[in-house]
Amino acid sequence: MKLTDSIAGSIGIGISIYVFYVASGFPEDQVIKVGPAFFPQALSVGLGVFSIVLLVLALKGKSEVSTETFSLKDPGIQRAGISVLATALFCLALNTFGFLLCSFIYIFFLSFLMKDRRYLEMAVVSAAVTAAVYLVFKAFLDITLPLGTLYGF
Amino acid sequence: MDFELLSAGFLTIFQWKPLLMIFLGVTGGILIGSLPGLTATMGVALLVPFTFGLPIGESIGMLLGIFSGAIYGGSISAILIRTPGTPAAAATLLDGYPLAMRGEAGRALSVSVVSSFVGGFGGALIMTFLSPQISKVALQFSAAEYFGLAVFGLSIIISVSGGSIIKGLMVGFLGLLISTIGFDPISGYPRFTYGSMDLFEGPAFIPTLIGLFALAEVFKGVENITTSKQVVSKITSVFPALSDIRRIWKDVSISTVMGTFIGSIPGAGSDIAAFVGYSEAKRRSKHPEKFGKGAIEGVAAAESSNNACSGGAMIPMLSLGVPGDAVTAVLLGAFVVQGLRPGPLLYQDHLDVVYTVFAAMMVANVAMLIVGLFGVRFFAKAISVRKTLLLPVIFVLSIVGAYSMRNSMFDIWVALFFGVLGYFLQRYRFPVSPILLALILGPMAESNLRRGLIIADGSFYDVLTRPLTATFLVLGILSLVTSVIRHNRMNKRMAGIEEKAD
Repeated sequence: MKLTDSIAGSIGIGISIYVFYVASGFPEDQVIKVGPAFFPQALSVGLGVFSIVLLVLALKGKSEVSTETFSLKDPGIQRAGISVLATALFCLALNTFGFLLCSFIYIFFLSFLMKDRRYLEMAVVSAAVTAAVYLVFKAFLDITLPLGTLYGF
Repeated sequence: MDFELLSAGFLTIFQWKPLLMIFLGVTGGILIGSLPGLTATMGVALLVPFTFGLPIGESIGMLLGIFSGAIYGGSISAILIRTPGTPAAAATLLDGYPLAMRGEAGRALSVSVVSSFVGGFGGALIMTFLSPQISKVALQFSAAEYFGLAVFGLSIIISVSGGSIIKGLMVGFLGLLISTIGFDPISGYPRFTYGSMDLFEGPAFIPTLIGLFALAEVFKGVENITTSKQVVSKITSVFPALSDIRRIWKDVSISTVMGTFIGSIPGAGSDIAAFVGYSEAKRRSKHPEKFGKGAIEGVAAAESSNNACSGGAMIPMLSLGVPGDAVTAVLLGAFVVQGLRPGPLLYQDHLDVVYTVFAAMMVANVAMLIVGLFGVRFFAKAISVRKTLLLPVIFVLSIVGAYSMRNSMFDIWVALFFGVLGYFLQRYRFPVSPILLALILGPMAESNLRRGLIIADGSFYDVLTRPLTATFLVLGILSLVTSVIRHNRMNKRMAGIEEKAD
């Protein structure tokens, strides 16, 4: 709790300083003196103040609510991390390999990742959902999902 | 209220396509609302992409169908497996589950759907009468008043902050900062865009909320694999008995009015409305000792109140452009995507659309009654679907939903970014709803403050001391202070309960 809140507070302070610095380079309004920088700078001060409060409370051991710890050895965290990576991979492969193939593999893999081992059922659901989503978007909403440049589309 | 326009609204809705969309939306909404872990906010976020490209009547019908269905759907799993599908259904659980345990699941479910219908329909009716009056007043607002209104709307951030006020405020400020990405609303200067054209209008709203409310939930679901609870109760009857209707009608009527009123207060969500309705029914009852042990009045009051709340929350959203809670914030975003900007100008420029919304809301509640009564056995089966199959499907729907708005790969990355951000925020007890409110109200606050300053020759004093602006600002401060006091009281009470438990 102390560590995670300290990290969150520090990140907040970092963002706040960065935003304030970048916004200071924005042009000033010559007439009313409140230009594009005013809001971001005011908000960065607000974020900074509450980040400092969070950090101080954490360092004093007075954080308001308890939070979970973060350990890369935790199988749950590992699964969540892999699912994020799989989603990123899915996004990267979407244009090249097309929605139909990517979605089938992706759904099947995520079910597998969550320790489902009923392979036939997983394959049927993956295929059915992929086809249904594609057809609904194509026929119903007139949106063609990527078919894949690999196949010349 | 204009009855001619309302009739025209009903005529728009009473065509087969809008009706079909309403029924599809209601079914999808109930389905998602009934699945534990999938919130109404997530339901609307996930299904919004299905409304892209649809004509206005159909998209409005579908959106309001999803909205009404999702709020009711939470009660199904609350009654059958003691797990509320949405936070609003937590009060329904108190008497709904004991009824199911006594073999009266069908009775509880049928009373729940009828009460939800009365609450939802009553709320929609009150909204139809009330919101045009509020919008008339709001039409007199200048930029300064809009700034005050936006600040007042932002003051509810604490109410939706959950456990930690500091964390809620931090996330609120972060959301406001995110809302400054893109062209400056007055000078057009690109801020924090780093030369990327995709960021010129800031991160797109729908992919952002899909990331925060759908992908983040799914990442959490993958982390904590839970086995779905099986429904053991048998559903015998799906229609309420006349004797039950006679027993509940007074509680349902009172809860409907209370729920609508609570819903219209920004920050007071349907979960609060449900508990207030429940407590009032218990207080009025001749047998309060039966509450919590399977009193049908408890189910009726909680359900009518939380569904009436949706009509109430639509009042400030439609007439002022200020969302009452996270679900209406998502709904507001969906309206904007459809080219409709809720607020008083909507009543000036698109009055026909406003009345279509009123008509659609009422019809959506009728559809909810029909689908709820006849589909309850199907929904009871659906809540037992394995998470290992359900979560990957939601993943794909989220990605496709983010992509489909502009056929843009960039939007998928935006959804993924906010999904990861939302996952970490939730994991470390930072609320995500403040980001949503900030994204909607931030630009409204900034652009109107600066417009007001231009009119007032740069004088902050002149802008902030206009009577209505000052009133909104004071109300905002009061809302903040009372939220902090309420929050501290609740923390003390919880600490007291924990001490007793030890």
